[in-house]
Amino acid sequence: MIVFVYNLNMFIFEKCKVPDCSEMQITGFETCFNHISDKSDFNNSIFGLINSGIKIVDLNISGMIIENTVITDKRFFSCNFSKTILKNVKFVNCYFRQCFFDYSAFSDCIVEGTNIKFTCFGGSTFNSCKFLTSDILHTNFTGIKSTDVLFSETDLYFSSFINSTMQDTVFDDCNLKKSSFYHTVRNNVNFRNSNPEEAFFDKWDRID
Amino acid sequence: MKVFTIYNTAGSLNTYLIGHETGGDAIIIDPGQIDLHLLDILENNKYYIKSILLTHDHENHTRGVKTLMKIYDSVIYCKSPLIYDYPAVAISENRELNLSGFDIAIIEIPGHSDDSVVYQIRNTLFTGDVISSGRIGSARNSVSKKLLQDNIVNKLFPLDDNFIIFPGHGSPTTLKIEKEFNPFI
Repeated sequence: MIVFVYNLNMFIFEKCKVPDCSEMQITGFETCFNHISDKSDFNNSIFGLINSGIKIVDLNISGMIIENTVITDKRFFSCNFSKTILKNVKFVNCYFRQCFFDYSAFSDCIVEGTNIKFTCFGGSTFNSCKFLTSDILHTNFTGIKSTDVLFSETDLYFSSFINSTMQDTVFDDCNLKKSSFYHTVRNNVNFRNSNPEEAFFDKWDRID
Repeated sequence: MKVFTIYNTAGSLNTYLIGHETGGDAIIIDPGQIDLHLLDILENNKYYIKSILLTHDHENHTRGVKTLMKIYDSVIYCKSPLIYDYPAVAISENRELNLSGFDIAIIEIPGHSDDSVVYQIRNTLFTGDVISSGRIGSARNSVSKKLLQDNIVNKLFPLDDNFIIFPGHGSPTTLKIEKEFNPFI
């Protein structure tokens, strides 16, 4: 039995106060990221918050742009990174539980030595990214688009890549047990030293 | 609101424990397996299982009910009148529940089984075997499958795209992702 503990305050979503905007408010503001007047001030305050401690809970920075940063030894719980743009960002020895990166755009990013469980990357794009020596279990990659992506020495147990489009993507020495690749489009995808025979490709794991 | 997600390796099932920060009465959804680890969580967080919510009456989702009923004076909520000879409070779409301070809406989605329901608490949906990321529940025949698909489209998809789905199996997702990428709908 594996237990994940989450505080779900993050999910009390409040809509942006700007009329007709359907986006969600971000941490500390009554508007979404797009409707903040001073984005550099917001960025500084968010990085101040992240750097001030190890454990980050319920942070909502949906839509934020994060560039040229190394984030090390941080533990994120129930954080909302939906629709964020991450360029040249490196996560090292981090820990993510119940975080949402859905519809985000990752380019030239590295995730290394990081433990990710019950997290969602659905609908995101990954260009020239690397996932190295990480545990990424029970995680949702449904509908992603990956180009020039490497998963190396990474445990992907029970993670879903259903309906994804993959180009030049390598799974090297990865655990793929119970992972799902049903309905994927794969061009030049390599599963070297991994166990695709324990993943689901043509059929999916029945839900009973 | 504090949510514990418990992954049971035996049935690859997610059980959810919902309570307040300060302990007290709590809700458990689909207790497929109860072991000392889970009981430790309950004790350490000062939780008392007041309500057992079942998304449907399939053994891999209900097996822990017998253990819980020996320990707690819990009330079972589901569509079936009896669970292992324990009486259950019948639920229906027209009757919203307030349990342990949480408002819970019930959405009936037959198809995987006749008694399948989805529980909505705030902006979260506990979907059992109705829908998981990129998948839907198995169905007995093509008619049941169509019924399940239609119910998902007509009853779940009109809800807010930002709603989070906590499925009985697999990783969390959102309604928007399932609308766009679930190949079975």
